[in-house]
Amino acid sequence: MLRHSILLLLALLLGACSTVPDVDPSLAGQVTPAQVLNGVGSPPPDKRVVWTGTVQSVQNLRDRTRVEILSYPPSRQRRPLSDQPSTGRFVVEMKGFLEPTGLPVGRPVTASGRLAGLTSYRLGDASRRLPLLIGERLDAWPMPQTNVRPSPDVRFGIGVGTGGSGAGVSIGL
Amino acid sequence: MIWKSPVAVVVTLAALLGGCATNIPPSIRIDVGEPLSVAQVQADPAGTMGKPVRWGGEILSVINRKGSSDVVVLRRALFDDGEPKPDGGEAKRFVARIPGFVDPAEFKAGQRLTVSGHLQGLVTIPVGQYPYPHPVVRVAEYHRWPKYVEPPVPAWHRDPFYCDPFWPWGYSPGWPYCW
Repeated sequence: MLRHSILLLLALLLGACSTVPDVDPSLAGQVTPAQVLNGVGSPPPDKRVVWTGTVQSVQNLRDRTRVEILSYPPSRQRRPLSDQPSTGRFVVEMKGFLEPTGLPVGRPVTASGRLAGLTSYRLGDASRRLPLLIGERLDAWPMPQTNVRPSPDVRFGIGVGTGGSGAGVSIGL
Repeated sequence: MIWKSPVAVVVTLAALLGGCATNIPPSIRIDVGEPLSVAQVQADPAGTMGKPVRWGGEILSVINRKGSSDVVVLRRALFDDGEPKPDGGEAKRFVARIPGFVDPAEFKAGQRLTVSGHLQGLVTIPVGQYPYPHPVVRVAEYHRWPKYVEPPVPAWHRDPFYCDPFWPWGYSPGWPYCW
């Protein structure tokens, strides 16, 4: 019994160290944007998918907003695993106006909705065919931290020396 | 030589002390406006006409018009002293209409601006193809803020020597795990 619990504990501890990408198992078999574009893989019967990725561009139309997303596999928290290879590109279309400053390039998002085939997405003079998701929900996650907050570069310390006698205050820079 | 003159001393002192004073207008530091949001003004431009507001946020663009300049601002919540918070808040757009010419090279996108003034209805400025109704604030006073810096954590807050929540009322043994 004890041995079993130790093994279990070890397995849990080691599991925490594993480097296997932590893809959401419930979404692991889901069709990817690249597969939809290339006509391989089959969308689910109800055409509903949850895709995650990073924002590439935003188009504000009169009554709806289109967001171009570079797709990455979803994590267990259903956030994009952007250190993994991309799984293609897609466009999510939301009803109404979405503030484009809230969707800067690179912002991680999770889009869920219904697949509606391919659409031509125009950016400048270029036009591309991309899978279209009629979005029901679009969640934006905080921008990845590019640099950790610098620590204060002045430190104070109080030291007491025993070589003979002495005390000192040091300021480290 | 000149210090013999009390006037010179007073003038010098005044100049030195003046350097410490903030140049933030009182109507920016103290909110005397009404607690209205962009959405409320969009819903009722006529009913909110002429109401005073203190709004602030992030500059998006500048449109120079004849006799005035429209600064498009993404509205953020303000700290008590009128400084816009770096993110969050309503995140909707309004126009700060400043009399005269403001230099777009100075009012750069991303800078933070707080204005006080009176509401003056809506102006439609398209965002992409979307006709976005921007509330207009006729600006009486404004202040531009320097780049936001997060208040640094004082070094002693992280000193393990002081890592005792019950200080100075006695040391609690077994409390090495503050953070």
